Amino acid sequence: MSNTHQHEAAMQELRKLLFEQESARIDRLEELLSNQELHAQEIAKVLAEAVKIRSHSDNKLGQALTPAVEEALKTSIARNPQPLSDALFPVMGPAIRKAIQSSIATMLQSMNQTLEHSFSAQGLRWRLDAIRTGKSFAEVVLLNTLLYRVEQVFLIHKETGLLLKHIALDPSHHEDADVVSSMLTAVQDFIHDSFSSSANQGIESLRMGDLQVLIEQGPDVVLALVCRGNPPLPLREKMQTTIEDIQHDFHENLQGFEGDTQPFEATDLNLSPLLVADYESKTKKGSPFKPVITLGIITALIITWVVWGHRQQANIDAQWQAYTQQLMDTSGIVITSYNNRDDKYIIQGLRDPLSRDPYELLANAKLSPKQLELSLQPYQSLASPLVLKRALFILQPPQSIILSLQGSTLVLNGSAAQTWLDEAKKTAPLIAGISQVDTSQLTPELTLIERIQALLQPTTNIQLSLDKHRLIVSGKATQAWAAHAKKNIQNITEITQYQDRKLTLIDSPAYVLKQAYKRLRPPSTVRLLMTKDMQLIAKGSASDIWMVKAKQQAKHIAYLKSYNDQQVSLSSDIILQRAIEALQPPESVQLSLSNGILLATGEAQQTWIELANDKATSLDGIDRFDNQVARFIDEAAILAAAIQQLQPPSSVSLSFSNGILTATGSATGAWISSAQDQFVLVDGVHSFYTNNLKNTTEGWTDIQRMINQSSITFPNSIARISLDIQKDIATVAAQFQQAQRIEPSSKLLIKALYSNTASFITSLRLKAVQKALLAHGIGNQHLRIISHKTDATNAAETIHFALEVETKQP
Amino acid sequence: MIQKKICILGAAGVGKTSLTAQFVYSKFSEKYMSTMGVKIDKKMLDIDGIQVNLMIWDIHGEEKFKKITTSYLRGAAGMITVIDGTRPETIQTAHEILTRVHTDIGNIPNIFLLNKHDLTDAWDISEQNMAELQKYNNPIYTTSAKTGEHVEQSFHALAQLLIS
Ligand SMILES: Nc1nc2c(ncn2[C@@H]2O[C@H](COP(=O)(O)OP(=O)(O)OP(=O)(O)O)[C@@H](O)[C@H]2O)c(=O)[nH]1
Ligand SMILES: [Mg+2]
Repeated sequence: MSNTHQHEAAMQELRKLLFEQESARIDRLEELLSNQELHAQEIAKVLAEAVKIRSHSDNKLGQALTPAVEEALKTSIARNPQPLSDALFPVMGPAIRKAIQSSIATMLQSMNQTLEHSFSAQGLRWRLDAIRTGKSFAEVVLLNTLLYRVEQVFLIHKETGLLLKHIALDPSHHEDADVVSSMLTAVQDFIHDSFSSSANQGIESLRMGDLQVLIEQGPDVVLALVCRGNPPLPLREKMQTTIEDIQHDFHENLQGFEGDTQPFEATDLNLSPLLVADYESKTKKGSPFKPVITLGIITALIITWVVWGHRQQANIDAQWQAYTQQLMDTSGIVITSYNNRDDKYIIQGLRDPLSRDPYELLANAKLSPKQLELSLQPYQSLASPLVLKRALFILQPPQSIILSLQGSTLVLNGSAAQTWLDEAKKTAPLIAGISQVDTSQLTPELTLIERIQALLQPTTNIQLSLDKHRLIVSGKATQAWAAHAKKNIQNITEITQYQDRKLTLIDSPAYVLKQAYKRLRPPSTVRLLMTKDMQLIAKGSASDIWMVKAKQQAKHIAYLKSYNDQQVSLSSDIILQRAIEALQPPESVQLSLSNGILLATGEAQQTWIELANDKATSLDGIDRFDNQVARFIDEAAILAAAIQQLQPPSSVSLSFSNGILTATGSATGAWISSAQDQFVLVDGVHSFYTNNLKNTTEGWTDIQRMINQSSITFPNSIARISLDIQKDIATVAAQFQQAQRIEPSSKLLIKALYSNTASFITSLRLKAVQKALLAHGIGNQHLRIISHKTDATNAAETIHFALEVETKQP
Repeated sequence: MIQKKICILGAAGVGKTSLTAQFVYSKFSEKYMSTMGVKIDKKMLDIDGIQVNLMIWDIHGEEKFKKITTSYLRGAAGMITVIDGTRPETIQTAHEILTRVHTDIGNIPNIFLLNKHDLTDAWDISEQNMAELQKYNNPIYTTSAKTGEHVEQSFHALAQLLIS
């Protein structure tokens, strides 16, 4: 034992000697592994690196972290959602908007499709289904609201917002189209500035109630359509191509646009199709009566169903028997037994799988499958209709092959590819009921294009061209032919792509409308519209010569059913011409016509004004007469009246023009002052200029003289002078002060007439007069304005004022 | 027919909307309803036998925190700068607006209207003010949206500038 002990101790010693260092290292490692904190420190050193390496090699790390991150997010949001929503907002806002936008767009799109189908046979079935599920009414209502119509088209100059051209379904209500046009531009600018979106991003649509404005931008023009309802997406494309066309065709007019909209009258041809539109045919199903008719049919069906149900109840057995009989008469079905037990009908027998479905017959007989217990064992019938059916099913012949059966011989008629023939010859004899194949009736196979030609029967105006599996049709065709071709081409399996974009549909409303424009050459004031039933309607105004010619020409337009010009009124030019002939206005009068309103401006004698008032509205095409003609001013007569009133001495000559009476020459101060008092009594004179009239008795000296001669009797004496205020304000003031001194107890009136022909602005005005007088110690209480006139046409102004001295006697 | 876009600018409350209303509808109201954004009116003028359809953009007044953005002025053929004759400080605003217009849009025909001229007692435009405005070499008119003084003439004068 002690031996073992010794041995153990020796070993210990030996270990110590040999592994002292290693043992210390192991201790350190142990510590490292067991101490969590050290652990974390070590891992932290390499964590970033490790994550990087691992995520490069595979995505396990991501998978492992997902639950933890999800949990962390949940807790974070639960605690305070703000930081996260702040972080996400810039991304989410636009994303949500986009998602909503695109889902609305697709929703509308699919609604439109629904709309297109809603009144077809299929649509009717959907309706029945909808009634059963109780959704029908909402659907009918919804579909009704989906109809759309383009009511107005605006072509707007992009930079200025000015209206280049406007057309409307109802042309009578577009007086403010130009304001609307500008406003649309302003709204765009506003949104632009407010949300500072990028420069070439504009608004695409605006909605007001059930009106929607679609906006498309070109480099120089903006096109806006006002639609009622929900327009379909293809309308956008149409708008874009219209813009492209206009940009191209009117490039020069657009580049040098200075506000003259005349050249853009011709855009009518580009814009009208947006109004009548090919799209109209899509909405034609939207007659308000259609739902009523549909509902009527539905009601009728329900009633019929109820009535039938009753009869069925009564004749139930007879019906089942008839059904069994029908099964027996069906080839490929053999009935071996028929029983009626516990309200159930049990039928047994054999059935070829290619024979008619007995349940389909059951449905036709309006019998309930719940009452039927049918057990039919499969077998292969040798009745020729079934053999033929089997052959068709197995051989899958192309359209060009017709199969028939003579006894047990299968006869092939027509033509087919060799590979199919080989296969058929091999397979056919293996079909139950067929013993051999007769190929003697086969004709050599036609080339693809020959087959297509035989099938489509194109006229000489139609070109077919084949590009591998694509058939391209171009030229001119009727709508019926195009539809027939599109449908039938599906029978030719080699053709996988059919292109008829280049086909002009010569009986389509759009094409016929174009022809009509070419033939009738309407003036810009007339717009042509095409109804779905190929009626051409002209609206607007034109000369009667055009109307007659147009009627004649319309007869030569192919596919046009009728031409209606009841909405064309006589053009305003002609009405105006006739008005001029009837009213015989003098040269000084201008007549113009707009919207049935005859406007007269200028001046004329009273007699003409009265005559025109009497006659104008009785003229054809004139609803109202807006007579703004000013009474002709007979200046000679006014001058004569002025001479009569003022009695000028021979040294004075008077002249009159534009309401201003001017005196030149020379006169006494007394005459001048009385004339200045009295000119207002002459009708038609608003100013009296005496600047160039020499006063033979000078201003102040005049008063002085009058005072000296005691010819001024106070109170109430009047002294007056004409003066240039700026220069003579001091003189006026001196007179005033003098007068105060001379007769302090009286009242002196100094009247001054001041007129100035400088610009409105630089002239000294009343205020300046006041200021100047004040500088000479004359306060406002002494100033009385007699008249103050500005005459804009001559840029002149006249101040007529008086200074009053009134001091009490001591 | 020729169409022209013109803009009416100036400090808030100087009478831009009132002047337009007087010009277009011959109406005036004492009530102040500040314009939000822009209001558009039109009037057809006969300038020397040419029919000119003026599209008048009445833009909200310039204020410290509501500066006029020049995008409304895009494509304008001419402009009217309105000053309130009873508030000389609105001249400063006019200077600021014009400076901005000149850098952003360029030099387009302009006329100055010194408005509210009917308020003689409160009128407060000095000779020095006048001299500053005359430096622009643009026509200056005293106007009153209330009495109609020079309203018709000044718009006409601008239209005339645009045609010649
Ligand atoms: N007495 C007088 N008052 C005027 C005249 N012009 C405008 N006002 C009045 O001044 C106020 C402001 O007129 P607005 O025409 O609305 O001014 P604005 O420049 O369009 O103002 P904002 O649209 O806010 O920029 C209204 O109360 C008007 O009645 C004027 O010529 N004479
Ligand atoms: Mg305003």
